[in-house]
Amino acid sequence: MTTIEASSATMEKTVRVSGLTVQLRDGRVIVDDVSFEIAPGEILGMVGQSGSGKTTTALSLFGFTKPGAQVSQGRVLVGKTDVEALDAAGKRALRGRTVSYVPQDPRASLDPAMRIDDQIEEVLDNAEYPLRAEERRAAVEAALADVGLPNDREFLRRYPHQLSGGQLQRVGIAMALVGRPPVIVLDEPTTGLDVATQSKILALVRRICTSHNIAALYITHDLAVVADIADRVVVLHHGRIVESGTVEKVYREPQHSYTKLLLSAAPDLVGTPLTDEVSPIAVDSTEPNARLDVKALVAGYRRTQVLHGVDFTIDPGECVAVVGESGSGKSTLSRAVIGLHPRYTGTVSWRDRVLPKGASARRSHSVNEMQYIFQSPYNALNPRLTVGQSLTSARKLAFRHEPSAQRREAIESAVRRVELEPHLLRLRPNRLSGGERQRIAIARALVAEPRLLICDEVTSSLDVLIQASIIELLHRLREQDGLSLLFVTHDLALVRSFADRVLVLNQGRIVEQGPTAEVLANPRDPYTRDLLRYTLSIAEALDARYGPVSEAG
Amino acid sequence: MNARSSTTEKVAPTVSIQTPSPASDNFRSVLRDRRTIIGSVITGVVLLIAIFGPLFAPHAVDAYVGSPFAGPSASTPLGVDVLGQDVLSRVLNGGRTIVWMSLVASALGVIGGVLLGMIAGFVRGFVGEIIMRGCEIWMALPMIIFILIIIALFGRAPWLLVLLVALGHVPQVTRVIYGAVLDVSQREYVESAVASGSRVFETARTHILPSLVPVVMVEFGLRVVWSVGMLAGLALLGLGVAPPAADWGLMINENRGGLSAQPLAILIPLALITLFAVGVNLITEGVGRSLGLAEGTTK
Amino acid sequence: MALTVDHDAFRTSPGNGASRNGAWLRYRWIGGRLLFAIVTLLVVTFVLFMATTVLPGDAAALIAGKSATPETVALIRERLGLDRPPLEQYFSWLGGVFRGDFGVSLISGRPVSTALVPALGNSLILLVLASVIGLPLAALIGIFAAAKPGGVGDWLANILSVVLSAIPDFVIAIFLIFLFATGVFVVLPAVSFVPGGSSPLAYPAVLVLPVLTLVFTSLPYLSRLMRASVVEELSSEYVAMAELKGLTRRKVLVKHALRNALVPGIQGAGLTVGFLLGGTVILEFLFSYPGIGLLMVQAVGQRDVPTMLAVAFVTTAFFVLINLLADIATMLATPKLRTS
Repeated sequence: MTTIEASSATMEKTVRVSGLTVQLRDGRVIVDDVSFEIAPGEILGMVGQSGSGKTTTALSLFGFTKPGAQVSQGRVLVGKTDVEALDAAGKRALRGRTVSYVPQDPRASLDPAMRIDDQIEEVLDNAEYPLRAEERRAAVEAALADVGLPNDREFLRRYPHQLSGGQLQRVGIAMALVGRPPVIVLDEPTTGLDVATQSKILALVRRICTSHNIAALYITHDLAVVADIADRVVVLHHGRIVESGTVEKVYREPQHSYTKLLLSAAPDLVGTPLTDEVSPIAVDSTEPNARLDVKALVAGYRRTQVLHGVDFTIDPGECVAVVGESGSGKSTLSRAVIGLHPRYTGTVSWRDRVLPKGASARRSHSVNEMQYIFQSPYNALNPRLTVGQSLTSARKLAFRHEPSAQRREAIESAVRRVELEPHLLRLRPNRLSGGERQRIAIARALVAEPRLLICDEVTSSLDVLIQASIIELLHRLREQDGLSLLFVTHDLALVRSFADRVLVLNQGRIVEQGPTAEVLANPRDPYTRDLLRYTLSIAEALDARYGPVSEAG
Repeated sequence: MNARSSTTEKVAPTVSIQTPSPASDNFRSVLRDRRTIIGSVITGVVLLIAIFGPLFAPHAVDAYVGSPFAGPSASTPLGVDVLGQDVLSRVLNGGRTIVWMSLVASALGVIGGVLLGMIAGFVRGFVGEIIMRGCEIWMALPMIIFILIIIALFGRAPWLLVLLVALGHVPQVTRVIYGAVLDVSQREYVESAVASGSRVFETARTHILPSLVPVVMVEFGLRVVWSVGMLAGLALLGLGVAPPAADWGLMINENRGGLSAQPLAILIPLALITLFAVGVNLITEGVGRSLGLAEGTTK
Repeated sequence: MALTVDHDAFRTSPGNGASRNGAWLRYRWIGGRLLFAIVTLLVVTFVLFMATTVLPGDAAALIAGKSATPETVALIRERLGLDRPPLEQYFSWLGGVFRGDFGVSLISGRPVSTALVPALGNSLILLVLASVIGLPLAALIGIFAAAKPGGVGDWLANILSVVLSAIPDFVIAIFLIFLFATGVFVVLPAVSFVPGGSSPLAYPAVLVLPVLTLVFTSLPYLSRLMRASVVEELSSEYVAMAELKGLTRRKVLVKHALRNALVPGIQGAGLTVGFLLGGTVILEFLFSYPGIGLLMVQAVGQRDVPTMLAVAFVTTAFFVLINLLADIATMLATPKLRTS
């Protein structure tokens, strides 16, 4: 791709955005003086965390602003068209034909009540470009063939719910291609897809942009995706571009401190791990039997069996990661262990005693010692209670008869251990950020003075910087208190930095388990190997595209 | 979760609990809502007339004061009704019955529905299924038909009317409460408490019941509106409160023939019934909106 | 999603491969709804029937009146078959219902069906007219309110629905009578005088006010439901996507938002028709309109148990049927339900 980059200065840019500023009605600036250009055949990666203004910037190419927002300054040129100067009809003619959109979640972005061919063909419903019926058919079929989907009648007449996630995203891309636009905007199109499908979609996007000479704007929060696919990258922070340049330059020689921070926080399969090298944590000699032992666990819902006989143990002080993709049964596993999914056979033992299946039947001692932390910090706290009330009721569950001074002391200490200020106790959750909420959720687990924390995807809804800080926090808690951790995640790269052992779960079975470093270095199971192969790595992508780092840079 | 309710067997929009916005953290925002304020004023005036009206009535409710359907005069400011009785005195005396009956019927219905809905929501399984199916069956019979049959068989004692109207509320309230309990109990903070060893009653007390309070408030309001319509309607059919008692609904029945000659004898009680129902509905709407319960709150 | 499956794109999803199975499931689902509808009907009639026989207030004593001799009461009991076990009475009543025989009216001495059938027809005329006018009107109000949320139309529609939904139907009826029949304008009949044996359709003037009242009572619920439903669809991601595809606002609204918003509207329409049925009782009484509502009120006044049971059966059956139709229509209008 370096050839495009070399010649781009002389080629006419397809997209030119200069000085774009978007303001809300109350005057708040959400996009601040953003400028960038995209040449034909080039993919520009736009990286930013949630709220950085990346989607707002992308939508400006369509002359589309969210209600309450407006472009207050700047110019958006797509081809020779000044988007801001267009009237409503002009903007409609632009959309789908000159610039098209690939949505983040195709399942929500496709009309559930319309067949997919009609939805693709609809893009051609443009008065400016009248087409005959057979031309439209041909265009739809060509677009589907382009994205590697069947284009027979049976397939064309399907409804969105009859397609898999990967197929749906291909339909989304076909919809963007059918009008043969010179510009495509892709808004996190692989979020929610499993890694193998993600890798295929990325390859598809790459191929199409090259073969059709399309200028693409690829928005994402995932640095690894950009390293894999983009030619150039802009880093957006609080609506401003803090750094831009070729992927090689920005990733290998980041100038801005924010970019450096992002790069250091991104979990990666190779390179320096997030936290210090995993140091085996000394087992507290007074707690030699605080061991979790799961044997022959079989669980499911009414008709479908989700887990097919799972065995593993967690030793005192150990951190065990369970890695699996959606549908692997990892959530059912963690819920069965904690007693929220009592419909299972097999045994869950704690301190060598078999636990009853439902949480309500378990003795308060074992219940206190095992605590569960949920995926989304937004639903994990009762919105009607203050943080202090939530923590108090959790502490009361663990220690029913306790002087209130002692209780208050325990709660404040838990809040300090998650590195928050005790004054937050007076607030309700809606006043806290996502990261703060997740810390409070951890504090709520800590007030029970647990020995084992079960963390179910606890970072997957958080931005990468917050994710890194939560991981560090969990790591520190292990070091200080010798807590054991059952860490459930879909992200293999995340595991590498701090799990002692890893279990790979595929379709309800543990296909591989062992020390983390060993499993990652020498995967034995084909599924693990695929998982490793398709998991994106910044370092690997950069090496593959630009060669290993040399002194010349 | 399709909740049905409101006036004459009307259906209310789905009530779902949403995460309250910062502004609706507390109930203070309810009092600032314009609908609540207007509704409270209207309801307050009607209640004052109903409760204290009898103290100001110039004549006895059953006193013969003039020729039937005579227009307003100095001693009968609102004219005379079909039996030669003073309309003003009957209006001032006629509100108590509908007010107490509708409030008690709604309260009983809501209590019954809340109990059944919570049992179905907490116990679930077979018991829950039976309760919910029963409600569905119960709602298939138009309530007025049921009430009329029972009245025909057992007479129209006020307590029976109250009980029957309350019975009409039960399935609708049950469904709403059941839906709300299910909704809340699947929240992660509730699961978190359960996983930490919280017992059913404890979980209910700290996490589930507080979220039901606004739902119950709104339900009660809707039920009062429905009760007013039903009770006044029964009186209007001549099957509610028995004469010679003064009652707004009954007054409409009695004076139906004089709508052109003496419209006040009908329109005044009609207006008071309507104001009571509309006032309560406005309060309910205001409470529901400011506590984030109304439908279509997506902006 | 399994990694090992390489041709993700070509995988057949279960929904389509199993279409024959889907058809079977569909029939089973409809069968289940039908069965529940029948159970509903049986339970409701059973409970009412038992109330009329088992509970202390003996129908025979009530019919005979307070001054009746025990012999008279016994005679009435025998005539009604009240001396037989209640369960037996119920099943013989139910058997009769399936043959279209609802028993003999205690007042007129003629089969209940001779009064019931024309009355039912007359009520259906009201219901059908009110539905044909009211349902689309309510949907339109909701759609217009949703097209510009927070606008003047939305505000008016909201006020209208909050006020109208609280006003009892008889208030609307009396107000309309006062306005158009007796008080302000005298252009329409206040009482629906229809000579026996002829259809109200021959006297369109008598239909205007009752139908208008029903239309008003049907508006608030359905228009609110449609508004909420359209607002929700308009804020959906696929509507935003449709706009980014360059579709006109009109197309986005009609082809995408309304199409999907209509689905909850179907259920709402079913419930609306159901409660209009309950509303006919008071309205028919007020207008003296010869429908089943009036029949019911008269039967109650005369303690005519067979007629009351017949009306209860017919109205419940109607309600159950309408909801069954709404369920089926919902399924047909939802591709996901239809095809899987």
